[in-house]
Amino acid sequence: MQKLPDRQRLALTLFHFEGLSQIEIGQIMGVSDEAIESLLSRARRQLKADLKSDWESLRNDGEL
Amino acid sequence: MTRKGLYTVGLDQLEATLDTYGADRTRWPAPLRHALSGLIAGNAEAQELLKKAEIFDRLLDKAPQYDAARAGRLADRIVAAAERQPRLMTTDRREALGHPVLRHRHGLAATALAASLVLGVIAGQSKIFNELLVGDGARATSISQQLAQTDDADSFLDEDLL
Repeated sequence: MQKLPDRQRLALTLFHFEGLSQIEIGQIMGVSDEAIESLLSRARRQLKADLKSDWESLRNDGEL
Repeated sequence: MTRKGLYTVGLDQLEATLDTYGADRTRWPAPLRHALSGLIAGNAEAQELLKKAEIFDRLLDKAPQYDAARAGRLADRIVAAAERQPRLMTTDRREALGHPVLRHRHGLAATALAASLVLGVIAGQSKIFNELLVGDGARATSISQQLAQTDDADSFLDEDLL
């Protein structure tokens, strides 16, 4: 997650780990909830790409 | 993707939703949840996409989390430094903002709020704050004092960290 741009990392952290809603995150970050949607989407896609090998090996090993 | 109007449901829409909100359907906007429920219930490929997203969510859950206690102590130091030090402000700005004492209290509250909001969430995940949290206390105190002494502390946190 350290590799993500700050805003993407913050949006994902607030949404996934802190359980805040899209609207609440938009208010905290001072952007629209549509912008949060975009940040979340880009963050998860980037992480999926970066973690592809880890993800697949863990899945094949049945660890997830 | 828009939440206004009707959704055209399909695997692409489901994939975009999973990429944005993850596999926990309770976190999806209600219109999306309703629109996609039929697809998920009756389409094996959709169920496979959902399953993959659930696995990815679990992988995310394994990501190292920030140390809340350390972040809290750093936030306390920032607030304490703000209480000890007079805030720097130009005469023009004091006049523009009204009574200086009220402004001071407002600034202190804003600093405390910014510290608790920002540090409580992202400390440990930011290189800057990792350095502060794992570094020696004297350096952290020095940096926190610099933050507290400037009226731009709030904007620093907003602009650089948000």
